[in-house]
Amino acid sequence: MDLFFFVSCETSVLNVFHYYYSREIRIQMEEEFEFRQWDELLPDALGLIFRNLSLQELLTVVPRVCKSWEKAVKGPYCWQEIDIEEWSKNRCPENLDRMLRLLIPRSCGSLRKLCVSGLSDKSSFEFIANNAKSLQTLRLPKCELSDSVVEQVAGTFSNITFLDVSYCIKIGARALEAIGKHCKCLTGLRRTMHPLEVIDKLSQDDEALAIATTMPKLKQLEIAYMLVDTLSVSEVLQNCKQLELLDVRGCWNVNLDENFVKKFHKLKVVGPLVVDYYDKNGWDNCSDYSGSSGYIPWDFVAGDIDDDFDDDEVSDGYWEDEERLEDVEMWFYDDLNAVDAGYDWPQSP
Amino acid sequence: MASSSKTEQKKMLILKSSEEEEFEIEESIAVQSGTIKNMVEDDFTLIPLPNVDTETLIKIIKYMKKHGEKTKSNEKDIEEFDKEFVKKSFTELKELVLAANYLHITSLIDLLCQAFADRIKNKSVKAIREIFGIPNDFTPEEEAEVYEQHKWAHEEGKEHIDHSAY
Repeated sequence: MDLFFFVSCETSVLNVFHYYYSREIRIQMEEEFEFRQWDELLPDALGLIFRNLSLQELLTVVPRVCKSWEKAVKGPYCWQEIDIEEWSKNRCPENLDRMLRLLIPRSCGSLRKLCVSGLSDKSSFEFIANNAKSLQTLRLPKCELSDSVVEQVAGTFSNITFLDVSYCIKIGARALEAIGKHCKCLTGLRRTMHPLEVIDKLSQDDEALAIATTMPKLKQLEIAYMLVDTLSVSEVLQNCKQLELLDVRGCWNVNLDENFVKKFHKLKVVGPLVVDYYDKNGWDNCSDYSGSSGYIPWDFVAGDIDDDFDDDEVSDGYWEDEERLEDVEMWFYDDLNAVDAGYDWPQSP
Repeated sequence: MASSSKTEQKKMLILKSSEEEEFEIEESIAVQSGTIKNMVEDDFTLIPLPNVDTETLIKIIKYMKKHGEKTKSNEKDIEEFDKEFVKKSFTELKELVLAANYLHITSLIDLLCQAFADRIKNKSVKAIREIFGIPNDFTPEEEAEVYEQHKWAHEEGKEHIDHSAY
């Protein structure tokens, strides 16, 4: 009788135990099933989600969530477009180099877009060149490389369609020629200057002429504040027959005749008068910005010139089948009284 | 030779959810889905979608219908729609992104991924795990190691001041 009692106690205890144990298993299985559903998304959809996050989150938060995420965030889907322009401002060359060598290999040869500011190390530039055969958009504002370095390396960027060499004070016509000669697919060039950068130059007409002679396929050309005159810009218009946008704001020696411009049906010229405005037709801008309009460039000198002349990057288009233009960055500086530039710019997928 | 214009018969498809419920939809709208487009090219008119449940399919059809009538003038309207569309529970969004992924609806995948990213932004690791229901498979040491690896990238801050130019 005792034995029977004992056994039945055991059984009921076991039953209870079994119930809770299997409930645990069930919960665990449910969690695992949920998680496996996320696994199904790996790696490409997760990569798409991660692409919208900041660099800091991608390096220090996402990889700590779980091992699958750590693996996904190292993979190519997050890094086909690498935009470290913000991060790279005022970083020392060693760290900049370190970051490039960390991130570029993650794209596994599928790097389409790279944005980095203040590049000064020749070996960093060579590293980019050697690992970015599929690069289409390259933004290197404020880079300190010279004409000869660009000449050496231009051949490896043959697939580039958009290049930004704004505020690069050490390059000139030679570099532009080399780029034009090797980058046969180039349809967009941004070479905005800062008024103070060009203050000791006599002229940059040779650069405009280099563009005119070597970049016939240009659709978009931004040369705000370059020291160019009507003649050299006219050369550009005559030779770059596919031009749709010409930004010559701040180019005070450029006085294009309206009738002359009208001959180019697709062409829209902006400037030399500098006005912040939003064009609903082609390029889309964040309409939250309510900066002053019609400012005079002397404001630069008066105000804080630290690194305030940087552009706020608007949502960046990329070449779709319709061949949309890269969105023009319609302002050059952070107005001191403007809304804090903490916009969440939607990034292009 | 008829002079009167005929009303065009729009080609209709039937989408069938995993729960066997059927929904009629214009082909021109349904082919926003790459998967459906492929099946149409193989002459299917009844499209079984065993990976998509009814509730999710209804939402997806709503999305495709709205985006199917996209013109230059109603862009704002569609933006508003998209904003509202992602105001859903996490579970719903998850079902949607899995379905959108399966159906290859690029614009919807992008919209949903952005919505997810917005929910991850500025959250702690722990919060993310809770939101996504992801179990932690790191040991504390492993997790710390991952953090240490890239701490350098954000510790220095602006340590290199360029005095040369201006």
